[in-house]
Amino acid sequence: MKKVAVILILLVVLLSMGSAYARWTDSTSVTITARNAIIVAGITGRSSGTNKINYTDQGGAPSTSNPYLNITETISQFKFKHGGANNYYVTYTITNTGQVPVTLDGLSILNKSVDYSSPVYTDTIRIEYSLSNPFAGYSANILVTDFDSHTGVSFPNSQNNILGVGEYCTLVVTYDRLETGDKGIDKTELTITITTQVSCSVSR
Amino acid sequence: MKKRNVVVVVLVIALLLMGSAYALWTDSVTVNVTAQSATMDVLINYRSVSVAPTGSLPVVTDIGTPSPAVIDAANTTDAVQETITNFIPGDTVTLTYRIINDGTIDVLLTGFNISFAGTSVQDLQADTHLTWTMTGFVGGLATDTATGSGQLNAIATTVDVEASGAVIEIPAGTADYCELTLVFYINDSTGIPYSTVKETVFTVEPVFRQN
Repeated sequence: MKKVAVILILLVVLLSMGSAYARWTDSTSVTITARNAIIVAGITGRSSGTNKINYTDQGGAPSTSNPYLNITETISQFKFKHGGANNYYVTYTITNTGQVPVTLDGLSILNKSVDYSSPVYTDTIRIEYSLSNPFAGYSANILVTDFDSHTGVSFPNSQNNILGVGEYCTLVVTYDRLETGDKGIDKTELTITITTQVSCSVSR
Repeated sequence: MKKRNVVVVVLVIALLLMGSAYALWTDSVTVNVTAQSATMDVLINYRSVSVAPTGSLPVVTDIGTPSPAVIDAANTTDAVQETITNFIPGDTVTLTYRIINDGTIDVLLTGFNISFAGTSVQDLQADTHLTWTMTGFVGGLATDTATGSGQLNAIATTVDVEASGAVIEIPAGTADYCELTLVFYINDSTGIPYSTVKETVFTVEPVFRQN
């Protein structure tokens, strides 16, 4: 009887081992590697009408092989003469260097500062953005007159402002002063530093 | 004589008792045991993929050739590796797998594990969303279904299908199967640094147990 009991116990153990083995070793799996498309429109070209405006170098001049996602411009000795017409402008080429068409949503201001060297009404600093997309036949003009609260601009009707892969548009940024400041100040100087980032999204 | 007779009788009795004892100690019960272990063999014998593109873009998300490249009734596998590139935000990728029971015991789907490989290439993780569906088919007809969704980094390590009330059984020796459908997309709609590669690697592992 003892032998029978031992055999039965061994049989149960063996069967249990087989079940446990199957349970712990069998599996079915799916491994997925997902990588998203590079979605970017960067600044690939820049020129300015005066050497009073300088940009911060990011490993070489902006180009299609070295696109800038953001750019820092410093306008030194931004002069204002009452009745004058001193404005400073920078022209950018923005290219879709990514892998899919994108819409150019706008520009956001990452940082900005004004170094006053003499009294000035900062709210009279004016920035005008003029965007031209030759491929989509799109253009937009945005005027910002409140520099202090300026956090960026959104291009209207962005659905038509599609940049295909490799396509580009031109953005002219003009810095000016409104003649609504203190007319008693005939001439003033200040330094403006502003970092602007291009924002884009997948065309939907 | 009487003494001798008594001695003989005693010896005979003693011998008889010894024979009985011998028989008692040498008798045996023979049990013939045929031990055959059960096997649990859960396999994938079908795979399909589809992409729902975003809007009218001229490009769509690329689905690479899976590994193994061919998965069908004659080329089953217990693991599949997928590669998706140019995963465009807004595009939806649907992967469907058919899971069969090729073992000798019934199995019960209890859920699945989802795990990420390492921590250095998980840039896309927070932007990846997954909707999963597990459906049991008996005789070609859908029976029990369990489904769920979530952002991948918010999904628990183990999804318990049983807890949701669904019971997906795949009996052995039948043509019944379970269909696992994974639908995922990313919601990253912003530009990303040009030099940054965003990707994620994760493994989906259905969990079965003996029924």
